[in-house]
Order: sequence, then C-alpha cells, then structure tokens
Amino acid sequence: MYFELIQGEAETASANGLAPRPAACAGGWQVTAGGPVPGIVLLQRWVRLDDREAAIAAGTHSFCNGRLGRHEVAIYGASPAWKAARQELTLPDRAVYELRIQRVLNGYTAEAARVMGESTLPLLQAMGAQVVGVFDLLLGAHRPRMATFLAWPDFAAQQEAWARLDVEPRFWRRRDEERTRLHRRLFGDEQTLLLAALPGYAPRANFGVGA
Amino acid sequence: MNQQGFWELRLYEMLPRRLPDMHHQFAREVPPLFQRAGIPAPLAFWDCFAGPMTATLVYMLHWASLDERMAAWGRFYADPQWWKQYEDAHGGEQMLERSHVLILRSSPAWQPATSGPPPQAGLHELRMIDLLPQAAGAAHQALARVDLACITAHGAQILGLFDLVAGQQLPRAVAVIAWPDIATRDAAWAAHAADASVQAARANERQAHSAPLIGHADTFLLRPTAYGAPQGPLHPGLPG
Repeated sequence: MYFELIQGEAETASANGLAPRPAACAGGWQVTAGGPVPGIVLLQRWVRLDDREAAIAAGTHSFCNGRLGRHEVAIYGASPAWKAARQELTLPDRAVYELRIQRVLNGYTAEAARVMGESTLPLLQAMGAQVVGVFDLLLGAHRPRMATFLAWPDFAAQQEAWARLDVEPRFWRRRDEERTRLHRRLFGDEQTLLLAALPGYAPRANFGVGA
Repeated sequence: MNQQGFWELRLYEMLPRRLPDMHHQFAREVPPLFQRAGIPAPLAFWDCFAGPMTATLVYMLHWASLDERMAAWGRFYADPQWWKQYEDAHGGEQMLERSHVLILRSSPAWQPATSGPPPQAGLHELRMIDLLPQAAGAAHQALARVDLACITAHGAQILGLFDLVAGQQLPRAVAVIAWPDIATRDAAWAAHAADASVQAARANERQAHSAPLIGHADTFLLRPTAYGAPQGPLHPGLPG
C-alpha cells in the first residue's frame, strides 16, 4: 500500500469549494502553523500507483479540486515504527494534528524506524499523543525521510509534550549514544506542521489501515 | 492512463571522495543486477558539477508504469548479491548523503527531435522550472514554444521536456538540454533574457494570468559520463 502526501499552498484556508472527499483520501487538513498559510495537506491511500493515475485521468484525485497552489507530492510506504507503536484508539473530536517530517541518516532507515517505534513514539503516547500513521519516503526529494502523523487532544497537550521531550533524559541519552556511535545524527532536520482537519476530511484512527 | 509511461530521475548527493566509487558501481557492478531485477538500462548518467547540490550523480530511467517500477526496485533490494556488492564497495562507510527520486511524465508540449544525437563531449543542463499554479498546461506550452524555441535557435538541443509528478515545488517542468560548450550556453541564455518575443510573451501572460507562466528555475550543469552518455533524445520510443 502506498501513501501519497500532498503538501502545499492553497488559495484559501477555508473549506469552501472543496470537492467531496474521494474514497482514496485518508485525510485532509488545513495548515495552522509550521508551513505556508493558507496551506493544505492531503493524504491519499493507494493499493496500486496505477490507481492514482486512473484517478487523475478521471478527475477524482483530491488535488483535482483546483485549490492547490505550489505544492510537494511524495509517495510514502508504511514504516515499521507504525506497527511497533500502533494502538487501537478513537481519535479525539476536534483533535490538533501534527505532521513531523524528519530527515534520516542515509543507510539507517531501519534503525531510525526501530528507535521511533520503540522509544520516541511511546514517550509521546505517554504524554497524550495518538499515533495516526508513520511513513518512510519511497518517491520524492530528500530521501531518506520519515513522516509521522500525531493527534493531540488540544494544543496545550502538544506544547507540553514537546517541551517535556526536549529535556527528557531517556530521549537525549539515546541521541547522544547515536551521535557517538555514528559520528553523525541519526535524525536530521525536521519540519513540524500543526494541522486542523478539513470538514468531512478528518482521518480515521490508523488511517483506517487494519493491523 | 498515461500511455508514455514515466521517467525516474535519480539524484545522488555524494559524500566527499565517494563519487568515483559510485561511478565504478554503475559502470561495472550494477548493470547485471539491474537486468536481473527487471530494471531497464538507464537512459543516461551524468556528473553534476554546478547546481544546488554537488557532487551529485544523476541518472534517468524509463518505466511503463509506476507499479512496475516499485516491483522491480523491490526485487533489486531483495537480491543478496546487491547487498554483498554494497558491503564490498562501501567498506563499512556510506557513499550517499541523501538521494532525490523524482518521478516525471512527458510534458504535453514535448515534441522530441528525431534528428542527430546530442553532442557527446558537450555540456548538458538540467533545469527544474517553476510553472504558474492553476495554469500548468499553458505554462508547458509557453515554455516549449517561447523559451526553449528561443534557446534552440541559439544552439541548444532539447533532450527531454517533462512534467514533475512526484517532487517539490510542483507544478514544475524539467528540461534536459544539450549544449556544445559553456560559451554557447551562456550566450544563448543571455540572448533569451534580451529576446523581444520572450519579453512580449511574459507581458501577455501577466495580462492574462496576473503573473508570468514561467517562474524561477533550479539549474544543474551536467557532464555525461563515459559509460552512460545519452545516445539521443531521452525518449525510449526514439532511435538513439
């Protein structure tokens, strides 16, 4: 299964004029912080990439609604970190969504997924985050990269959690150990976007993907 | 469906001193593994020695479908021989800083020339060109008929013109251009900047679309490698 992440500028941050949600759309959000605003993020789920081509040809692809300005398209696959950190929960109503895109040291994608799934995500889950999906970049710029979708009950919980993680000794001991061993950082630059689900485009838990 | 298939443009940002090792891999070690996995022979290999990132190895493949592409690369990475070669070649160290795997389709405005191979010893140029959002179709036409026609009249040979499908800054066109030498290239782009028909086109676009159809471009200067110089237009249906 493939996940197509579309991230870009939009004409307006409102939902006015947005086409009905296509079946392949796993979620749609407006950017509230961390990226260009007005901005939009769409996640499409494809069993085959030929299905994506067929949707574009038929005008049923999410970005065929004409609202997107300059944007990025990247094709991701499910990361092993997602399976490791998966929980069967219901997403909170009016959740604050967070999309983190992180560069990973080339050649260490498997280790990065293991660290993310066994260490970082459980710490964040203990602080109130729900993991909606974790992905490894397959097609697109700046490989390797990981993308993580989190859902928070509210903005305060998100801010509190990341402030705590920033000084969490278990988190930093691991980063220090990686840096000593690899002579470089396992996780490189990262981008954090805060998102609000567009009306009718809210994701399902685990993006509706079965365990 | 897309009848012409897809082009995969791979840009490998190399760690210092590892580009020769990567060339050795692609010239000698990798081709039989590609063949075994069903990955087609690349249409071209280049070094990039001026651009947003250097040193970079660039190459291009053509696929009938993206699902075929995913399956073939899956077979490649499942091949134990690849991992043995990888260990032998890398000596426990990385070669790549990062890679960019961009997916392209043929530009609706690309009309591949069928005459004459590109200059083997010349200079090639990769341009990634911002197009006006919501008017990408018109922008492709303007790029081909106005801009690329202008530089072609000043010595350029267009090896390929594509639409970026997966990558950043979409909508973007990707052009691969062959030049006999850097002097011809610099003179052609200077002539393009001063060309009255180009300026008139941009002015008309501003009136019609409130902005020019053609925006900024990232420019990479490329050197065809000895083992992988393109033999003709980057189109599998044309004679090389």
